[in-house]
Amino acid sequence: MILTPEAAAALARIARVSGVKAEPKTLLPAEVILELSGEAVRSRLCTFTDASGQEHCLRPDLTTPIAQMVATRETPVARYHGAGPVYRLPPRGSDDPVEHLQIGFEWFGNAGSPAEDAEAVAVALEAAQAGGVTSAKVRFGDVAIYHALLAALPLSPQWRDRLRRAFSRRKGPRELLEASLGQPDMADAARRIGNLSVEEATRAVEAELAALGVEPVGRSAEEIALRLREKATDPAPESGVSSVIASYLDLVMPGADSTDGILQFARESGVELDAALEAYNERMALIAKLRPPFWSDAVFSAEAGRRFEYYDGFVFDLARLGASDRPILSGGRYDGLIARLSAGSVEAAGIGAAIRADRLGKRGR
Amino acid sequence: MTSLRLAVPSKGRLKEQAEDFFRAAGFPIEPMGGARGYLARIPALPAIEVRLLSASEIAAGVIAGDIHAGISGEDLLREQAGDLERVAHLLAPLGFGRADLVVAAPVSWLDVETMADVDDVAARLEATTGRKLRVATKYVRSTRRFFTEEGVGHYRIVESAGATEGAPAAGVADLVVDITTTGATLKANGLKILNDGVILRSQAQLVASLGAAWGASALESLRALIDAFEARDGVRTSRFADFTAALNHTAA
Repeated sequence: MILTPEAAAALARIARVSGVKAEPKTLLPAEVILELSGEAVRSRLCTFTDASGQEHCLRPDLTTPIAQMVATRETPVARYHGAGPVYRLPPRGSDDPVEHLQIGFEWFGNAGSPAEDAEAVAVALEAAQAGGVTSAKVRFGDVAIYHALLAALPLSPQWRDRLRRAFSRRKGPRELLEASLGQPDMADAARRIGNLSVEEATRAVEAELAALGVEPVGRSAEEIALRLREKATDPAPESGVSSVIASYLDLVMPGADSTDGILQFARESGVELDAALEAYNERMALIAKLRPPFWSDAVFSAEAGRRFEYYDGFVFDLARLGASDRPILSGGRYDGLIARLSAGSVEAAGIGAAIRADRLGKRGR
Repeated sequence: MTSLRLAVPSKGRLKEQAEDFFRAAGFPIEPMGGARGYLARIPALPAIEVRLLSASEIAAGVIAGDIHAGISGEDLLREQAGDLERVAHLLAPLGFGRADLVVAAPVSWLDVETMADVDDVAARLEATTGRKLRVATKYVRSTRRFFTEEGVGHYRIVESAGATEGAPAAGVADLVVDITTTGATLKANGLKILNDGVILRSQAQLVASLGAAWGASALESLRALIDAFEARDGVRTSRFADFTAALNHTAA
């Protein structure tokens, strides 16, 4: 593979501090991507089926195949970097090529830290600069603050999970909260059965199924009884709580003002975010010391990193003005990724960034 | 000058209803006969080339632009097109071939009434067993789009070749997305439609392609056809003008 001079310069900047050059596989079991990102991304994947019915796909990024090798212990927990083609079917009406060159790094370790976050964003931005990017805007956020906000608010555990899941979905937290307004707060079956003990509820479910003349299909009577009990204690968020979540998601401000801005939001909303904010503030101070390019104009956005399934902490991207939907680079922390890919058998924190080579240079794609 | 290529369903109930529809407008369709029974003509409109195809082939032909206009189900058109409005224009719903595309769950799932319930159950299933909820369907794209809009994740599509409604009882899927007219088949298979689980209320549509090569002759034939239908019903609409506007918009 021949790198353009811009791509080679960007890769060289990363290689100076990253450890091992990764040799990620081109082909993955489609299963791995689908388990991670779900059916919604399938229409963008280049998949095909072999003679035995097994589905494979071309890698849509470099993160997944490298993470997969770490999760299966094929390669050790370490700092990796690499460059290579990745494949995504363009959405209808887009002239994006299916194949493009990606340059990036994936750093795995025992634990992440604000210092590592700062180092990662600085290296990524310096690599973009080395690759000829002169004028572009950084947008960043911190998914961990959103998670801390949900933990601090009076929400049922079910609603906390729902709002967490919704962050990466098209039907996001706002839409979910709006939809909950008109809903009856409890279904009939939950009202009849949900307040019984587990044994009684299970027997009541069995009796109702017998009356309906059906056998339990797919889920046992006890599973259904347990969930009816949960539904009975699952009130929709109060409007005050909903509006705190919505106003957090609305936060957009210059990065330089963000430590004060988020603190002020927390005080005004009466939520305690101290632990998450401490890590945030430490990270911001460390990034400022490194003085990376493009950072002085960076914008904090609470919604940054939305629609990326696996980011769970610091997230950032860099895009030309007026082209925020076509980032030159994007990256973030994904401490839960390896645990998810290995079903909990391998533990490793991770942070990474990916640069699109065809968007480097003064103009880019 | 290309003549209008019009496709009508070649089999089943949809064929009979489509033929009745044309006959009532004064345009009986006559098969051309012979072994190659896929060509027909409308004696009153000799400039139109009529093709007899399956409803699914008609949808594909209109989307690809191989056929100027035809009769097919909206469910098939939306499933095959992805973004239907970009590639085809629905000229008129025809009032027959009615069917709903729905999400159905086992009746025994007393706790599941809405798509939000499906997401909760799917998330819990994955967290406790590592397995994703399986959805059996022939309507893969429509399912994916609807589940995304409704905020449901943690599921996998199991493509079904036939008898989708039997998949949960057979243990190969948890939910189904399928076409139903009365709901009787779903019910007989121990399934219920979710409260907000109607993806599409479909019916047969007279549909025109935005990607076909529309010459003056083809446009004139379409206008004659639409005029005749409207004259029969005693109404005047902007259907033809709306279509040409969509066509110009696509070309621009």
